[in-house]
Amino acid sequence: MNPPLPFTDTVADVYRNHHGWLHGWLRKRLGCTHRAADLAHDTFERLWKAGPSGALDEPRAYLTTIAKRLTINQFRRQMLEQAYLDVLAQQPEAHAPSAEEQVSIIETLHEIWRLLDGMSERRRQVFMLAQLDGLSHAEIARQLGVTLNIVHKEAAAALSHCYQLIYAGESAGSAG
Amino acid sequence: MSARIFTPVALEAGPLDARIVDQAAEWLIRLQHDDSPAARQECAAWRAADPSHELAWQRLSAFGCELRASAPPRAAATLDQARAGIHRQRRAGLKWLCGLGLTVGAAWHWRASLGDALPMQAFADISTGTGECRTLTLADGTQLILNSNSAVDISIDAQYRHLILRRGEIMITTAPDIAGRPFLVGTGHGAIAPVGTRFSVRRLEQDSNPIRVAVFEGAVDIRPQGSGSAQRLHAGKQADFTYAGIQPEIDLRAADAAWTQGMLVASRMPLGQFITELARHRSGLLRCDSDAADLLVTGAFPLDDSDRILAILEQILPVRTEYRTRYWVTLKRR
Repeated sequence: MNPPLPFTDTVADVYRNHHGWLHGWLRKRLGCTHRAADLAHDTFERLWKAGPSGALDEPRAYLTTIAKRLTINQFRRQMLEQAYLDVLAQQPEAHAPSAEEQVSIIETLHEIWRLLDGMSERRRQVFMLAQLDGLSHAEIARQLGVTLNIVHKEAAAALSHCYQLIYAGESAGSAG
Repeated sequence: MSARIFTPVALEAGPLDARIVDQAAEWLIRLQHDDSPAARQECAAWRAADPSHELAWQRLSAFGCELRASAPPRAAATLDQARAGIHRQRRAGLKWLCGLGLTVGAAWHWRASLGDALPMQAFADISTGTGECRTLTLADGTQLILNSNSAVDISIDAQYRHLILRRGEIMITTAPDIAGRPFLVGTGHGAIAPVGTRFSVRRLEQDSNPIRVAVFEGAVDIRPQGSGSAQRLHAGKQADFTYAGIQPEIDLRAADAAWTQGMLVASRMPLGQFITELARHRSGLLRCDSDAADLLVTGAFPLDDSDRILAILEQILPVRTEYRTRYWVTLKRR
């Protein structure tokens, strides 16, 4: 364990002391120095916006947490882009959304994906079938082989789950 | 955070008690399936009982509206596919994912295997009609694609992940299971146990309905019921088997998985065989006369419009299509 850095530490100090290390850490894991550099840059940008408060005690743990999250997001977007193109190719009618539309669709899907994080598999399925595919609860119960009552409960729990993610941290006065 | 699609409502009103949010969610869901005047009245009374109730209701309703307004067509399918892509990459041992100890989607797995599956005996019969193709993700993350006119039983419980192919053809992309439950596909002729893989299983429409197994990634063990030993089939190979034993394996063609993309891909395929394949996706009787059966077909055809494929065949081959009715079609040599 490193001793805690003095509280006078600023983002600039964190950057000076740890940027090289983070870049190396990412490079070792991503196997690509450019991608590692991009992600290290994004990580510090994030830190800059958030202020250094969280980074004081364990700067490297804090940085790697952000970097991992950014990597996951980037990877998910990449998968979504691929999946979206595949699904688009399977559409019977010719439909070619503009580049802007595509970006916004990927963003929306990414945001929905974020809301699904931490849901149980069954809850996730109920949520997607009900809210995205627009199936009736009876049809969902039939497809998943569960009772109607379970579908009602899961659908409500999924909504609460989304609420908690959307409002997490927003109302705790974190802006100060 | 990324750009916010779902914007919080009336933030200045502060946080809400989680129990009130739960109640509001229950009301919202209830009104979706019970639109009786009594239910609406009860709900209105609940909302009026406390300002925090009304706020929770407004916030959740706003989220529902935004979700419906912003979700693109086929959002669920796209998300499923993207998740499956992540599982595939992880299985392929993508260096940086492993290196990060990344648990992309693993939270779902974890909960699915420990939280959900233990109390729940998910048992479902899934089937497709003629001309229908369906993709779904099972409770353990396994991706299942049903070809036209196919049926499968799914049983996932605390000990096993078990599919039974009743009819037709399925493509399976297995997901690694944290609970380590064995995965088995039963066929009536014997069982197939995948070893981290993507493979298809098809019940052929010939005498005794042999089972055709094709492995696209990884490997599978085939164990015919009548023989004690299992035989391993590796990626790129295909083999037919029955209760009694396994036929010699043959090489797979890339086009063999084209149906999962809604395509029929033929490379110098005899017309007779082509029509047999096409007939699986089309209601009614579709045949080809024996003197045309040896003509060779090459091309990639979208399966969603079989009439169009027949029209194309008339253009590229010396055949004509004889329609007795929409459901009784014969290809004749010109």
